[in-house]
Amino acid sequence: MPERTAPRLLYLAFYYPPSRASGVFRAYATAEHFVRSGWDVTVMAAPHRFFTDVVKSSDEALEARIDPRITVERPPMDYFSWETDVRRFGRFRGNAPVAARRWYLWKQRRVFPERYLSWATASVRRARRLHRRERFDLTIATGNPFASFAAAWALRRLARIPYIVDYRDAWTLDQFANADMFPPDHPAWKWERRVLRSAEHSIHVNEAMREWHAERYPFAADRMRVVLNGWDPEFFDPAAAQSRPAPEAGLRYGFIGTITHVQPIEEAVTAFRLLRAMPGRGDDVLKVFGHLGFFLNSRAQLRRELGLDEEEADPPVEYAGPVAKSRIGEAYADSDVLVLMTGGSRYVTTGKVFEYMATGKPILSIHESPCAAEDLLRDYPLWFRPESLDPARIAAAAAAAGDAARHPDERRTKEARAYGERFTRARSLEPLEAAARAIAEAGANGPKGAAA
Amino acid sequence: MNQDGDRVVIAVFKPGGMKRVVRYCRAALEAGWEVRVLLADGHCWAKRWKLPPGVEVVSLREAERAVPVPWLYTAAVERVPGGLLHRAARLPGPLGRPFGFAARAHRRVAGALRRRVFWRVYGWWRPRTLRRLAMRRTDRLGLASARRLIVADDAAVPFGWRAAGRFPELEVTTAFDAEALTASPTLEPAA
Repeated sequence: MPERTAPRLLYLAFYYPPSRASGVFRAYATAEHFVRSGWDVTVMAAPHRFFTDVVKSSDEALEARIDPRITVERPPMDYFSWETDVRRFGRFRGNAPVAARRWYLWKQRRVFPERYLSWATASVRRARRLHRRERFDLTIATGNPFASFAAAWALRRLARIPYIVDYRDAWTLDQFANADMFPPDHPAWKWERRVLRSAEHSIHVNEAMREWHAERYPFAADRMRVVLNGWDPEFFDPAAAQSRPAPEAGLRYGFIGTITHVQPIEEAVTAFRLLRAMPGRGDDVLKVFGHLGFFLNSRAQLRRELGLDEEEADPPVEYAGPVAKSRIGEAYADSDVLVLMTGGSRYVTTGKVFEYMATGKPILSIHESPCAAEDLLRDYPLWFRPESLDPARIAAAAAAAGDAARHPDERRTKEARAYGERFTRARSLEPLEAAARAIAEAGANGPKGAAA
Repeated sequence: MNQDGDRVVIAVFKPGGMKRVVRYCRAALEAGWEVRVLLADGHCWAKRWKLPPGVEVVSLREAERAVPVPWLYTAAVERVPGGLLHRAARLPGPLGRPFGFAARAHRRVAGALRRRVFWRVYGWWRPRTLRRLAMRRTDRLGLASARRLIVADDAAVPFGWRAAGRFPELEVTTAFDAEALTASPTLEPAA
């Protein structure tokens, strides 16, 4: 057998390109970072059909950018809970739908409580086959879906592959309600405990998330780390985002990202109506760059909430549509003030805040407080935060941010840009890669491996 | 507005989703579709849920009542003993009183048996029974020329699955997709 030169990583990332989910860039960047750092990377991702038929949106341009050295496997899954085309039902479900549903629910109850279970089991099967050919040194599983954590755990048991779990989102914590996601007897608790007990490390996107998990699972607290998200120089050049407001035209307040129901849309729209009623601000506009919701069926309602369907002569919100990641700089250049609108939670950072800060432009926050993004924005010199979500206060903060854009202070802008440029994705991922390498070098009988 | 003649058929074998069915029927009628609903309705769902006028209802109620298993069960456990006890309860004076008590007890026990035993067993078999009955009514439902068959619940799946095999052009779905009502290719003028 030839001598191995590169450590071998199995990366379980259901939402991997061509996914358009908000967390996909973390998964994409992690795989890219590891392959550039000399790892042999195999990714287990969702089948294409999931994006074309279930989510009904995908980003083929992002998929085309995947480093060719990365092996992407797409294990099959069953679409029981998503399938609406009766022709595609199997013989069992077509003839005995009640039994088929009970069987499906039994599996969720007794095996793993998530509808991505079939993908996880198929991933384990395929990973074991690949592992027999050439062994993996480490598994990194990213959630959601958290079935990937269970798959990593199973591979540890079956093939002695050590693993790290990366919490892109919380599993058992409702990040927006700050409450438990499941009742106390739900199997998710048992699974999370089991997964964290055997994991080499668990990775969280901010300190608040790490703290919450450390409190819940003190036995694993010393193995919990924070790996922030960051901005990707591969997709975003801060220099291309620079622009000055046109002297005679209204200011453009740009929201860049995906609009969802958790954001304070109504307050934002009302605030912009109030802003435009202020003297000299009649032409200011909130420009939305991005998708309306992650799923096709949420678009119509979000359009209504943004007032895009109203027959208004001069609406306060302008929808600029989705922007390809490769052209994101143009959206930033087309904005004078950047609007950070999120659901607001001390556990949610939002990935966009890093790009926002790298531009050095004024940032207007529209979200509940506390919000994890505030920890990062606190030291950003051009941050404008209303005291509450009262539309009048938002409008006042927007006016102040607008003034900062209209009459920029070069020193503050420079400081803001320098602060934002620190948060690149690669810099965030370096400690993770170093920790992963240490585990790979220690082998399956490494520090945690022997005990699990 | 949809082109005349586009027909959607909705198969509803359980009452749980009737509100959604009514909403969809209204939207489909407004969009110019012809709507036919196939109901396995034990208790006159069409009236109870106020299906909009213009919806053609095909009911399996009588046909299902005549199916041997439920017919025999209701006859043996509910109708015959219940009828006898009720008649006996009408006997004059103190003779009828214990039968009246027995008739009420029987009604309660029969109701519990129906819910806890009969439906639990028959519920497994019912989708296939209804499939057989429904497949005999495909002409009345006009499935051969329908555009879409919506299967409203699990019990209607075997019928939908069989219909999908028999009518290759028919779209058979579980989705009540209101957007698909207007996004009909027949809306586009011929080139």
